[in-house]
Amino acid sequence: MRWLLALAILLFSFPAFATLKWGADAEGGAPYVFRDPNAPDKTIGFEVDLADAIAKEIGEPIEFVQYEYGSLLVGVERGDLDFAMNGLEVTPDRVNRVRFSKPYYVYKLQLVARADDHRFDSLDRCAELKCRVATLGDTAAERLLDARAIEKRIYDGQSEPYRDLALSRVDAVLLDVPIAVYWARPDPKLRFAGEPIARGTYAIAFRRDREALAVRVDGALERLATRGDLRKIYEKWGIWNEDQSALGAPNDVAQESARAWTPGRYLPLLLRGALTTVQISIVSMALAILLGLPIAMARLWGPRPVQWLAIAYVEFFRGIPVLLLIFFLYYGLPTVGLKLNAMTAAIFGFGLNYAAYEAEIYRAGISSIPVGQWEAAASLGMGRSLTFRRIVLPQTIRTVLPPMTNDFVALFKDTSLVSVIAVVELTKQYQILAKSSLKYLEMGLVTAALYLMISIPLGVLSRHLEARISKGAL
Amino acid sequence: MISIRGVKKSFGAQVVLAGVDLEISPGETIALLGPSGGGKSTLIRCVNGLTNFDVGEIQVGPSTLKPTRDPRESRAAAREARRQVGMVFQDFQLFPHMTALENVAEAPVTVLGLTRAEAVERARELLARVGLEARGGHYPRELSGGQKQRVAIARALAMEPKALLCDEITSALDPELKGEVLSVIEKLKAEGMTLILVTHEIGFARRAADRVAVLADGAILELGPAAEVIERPQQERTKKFLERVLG
Ligand SMILES: Nc1ncnc2c1ncn2[C@@H]1O[C@H](COP(=O)(O)OP(=O)(O)O)[C@@H](O)[C@H]1O
Ligand SMILES: [Mg+2]
Repeated sequence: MRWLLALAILLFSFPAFATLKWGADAEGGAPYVFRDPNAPDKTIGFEVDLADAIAKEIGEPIEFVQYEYGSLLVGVERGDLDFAMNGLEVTPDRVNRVRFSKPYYVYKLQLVARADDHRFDSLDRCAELKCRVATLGDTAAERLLDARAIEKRIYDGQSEPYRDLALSRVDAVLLDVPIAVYWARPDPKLRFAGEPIARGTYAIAFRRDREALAVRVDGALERLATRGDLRKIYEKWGIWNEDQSALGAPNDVAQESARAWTPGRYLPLLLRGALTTVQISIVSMALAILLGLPIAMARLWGPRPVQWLAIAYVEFFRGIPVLLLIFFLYYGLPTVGLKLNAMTAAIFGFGLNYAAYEAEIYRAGISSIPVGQWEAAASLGMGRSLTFRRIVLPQTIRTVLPPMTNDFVALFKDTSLVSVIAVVELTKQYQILAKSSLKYLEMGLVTAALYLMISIPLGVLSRHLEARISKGAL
Repeated sequence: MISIRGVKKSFGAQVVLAGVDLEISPGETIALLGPSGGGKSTLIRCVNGLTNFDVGEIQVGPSTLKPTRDPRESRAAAREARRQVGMVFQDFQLFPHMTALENVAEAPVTVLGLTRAEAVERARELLARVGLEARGGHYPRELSGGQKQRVAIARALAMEPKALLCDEITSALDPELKGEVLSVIEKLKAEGMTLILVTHEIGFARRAADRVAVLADGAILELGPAAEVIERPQQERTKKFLERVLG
């Protein structure tokens, strides 16, 4: 009887012992939440310390859950997470979606320039100089740049903007003070340009129906602030400043008017993304088609070592993910002094990758031309290279047209990968817009329609060519 | 015009030509008969350098083909030989992406260096000679087998060869289309073209050929005037072969 009672107590008390799931993105997330460089399986950061302190205050264990930064609010809404705490700025759009705790940090935005670039010390001057400014997507900094009509580059991670700044790919970085403190201050190639601007606050996001939990966490934050525990944590991470004493003061960023996301506003942006997608696809495919032919010829007729090189090329580029290749071209090559801009890196990445596939298509196409055609040309006195140009190649082009059109459609969709190097093409533009507007469904359908408007006609063209060729009509 | 002396050829262990000698004088028409697999195709492919042989020598007009290991040397010799002899294949091998006219004009422009206008003019004349003046703008897929083969003949003639090698050029044709191709060949003979015809049309060989050679197992079994070889074969094997072919 006694064990039954024990079991019942265990069962009924279980919810009280359940661990709270705290969502944040540890990928490049210093100093908020990130992997300890000395013990990569451990997560550290000022928000980790804050979570520990809150857990102690409310008497419930908190467990860190790795969650993509851009999807944190969705995670909260879906109930995957009990709360999200990851430098989330309190904005009107977000206030409509989730229940925010009391602010736990007052941030400002810090403009960072290269140490040797003394042209500007303010965002206004930066705007006059028509600078290109890097920042993270869907942040107060991005909206501020938009409001000032300053040209921006949007990144996914926090280290990449500073990296590209040091490489002169952008002129400045505008990001939250804690990020600047952690990533830019130790770097002698970079300097803080002017004072921090545009104050805002970070708060913890709860689902609207988790009011009880939110109230308990609010209480915990208040106690931590008055006892000076917050200050201790922030001082440990070097991000304490006088602004923090104003915790609870009105929030500049929250004064922004909520945006009205009408199709008239987002459609031009999506179309611009689509244009980038088309540009990358066309130039990459042209490169692949040009490069594929000599590779196929080298493999078919080259001397042994050249054949091996061609085989090695094809196997290498078919064997590695194109994402890795693009990342390597963009972030890896500057180490050896070769600095490609993002579009060039994307085009070469896809071009080199697809050249391997096109080479194989050419090879199959050339091999499918009957030996009799070579012999007929030879019997007319035509040499090998003349025969190739005049007789074999024109017929090959007909046979390779359908599979290459198919590859073009595949490439067209693959271009969505280039968001990793801060090229805003169609998919990336959709993610950015959908995250800030919450119109995932509506914008998703519009974006899909834009893709289909290009890929379906191409697919039809490919099948049409195939049918005509198999009927011998081409 | 063409003299084949002691030519031997093996594919791996298989001996395909076991020492062939054959003299063809200018303007002569010679028919090559023999069972399938006997080496007829291989022999005439050797004459224009499409196949290399192992032993012997082939004289084509002023140029000489010899076995050689140097691919550049053999290619140069083949090129010279091809100036002298044209070839027509059993399966036509027209260039499918070109019209009949373009098929005929291609090599004169790219090999002989004629202007396009000259080459087209010549191509029109040649198509008229084979009875296809109205078909110049058609693609091969739009032509019948007999028409395709006549375009192929015109294409070979465009290079102004002194001799023409024809490898079973009516074998792929329906019986009612053979005649139009054979009559073109007879016309060429009348104009003095040197012809080597690999054929299974015994009646045609009898009518059109000056001499007949029977090739079996890589050797010439019998060689002589057409009427003699076909009507009074000396060898037992030739008799059997002719009986089988004539039914
Ligand atoms: N490229 C080749 N490789 C190997 N064997 C071949 C090749 N060409 C022809 N042969 C063989 O040589 C023999 C003679 O062929 P061929 O000259 O085509 O005879 P024919 O034209 O009299 O029918 C056949 O047994 C054939 O299989
Ligand atoms: Mg044959």
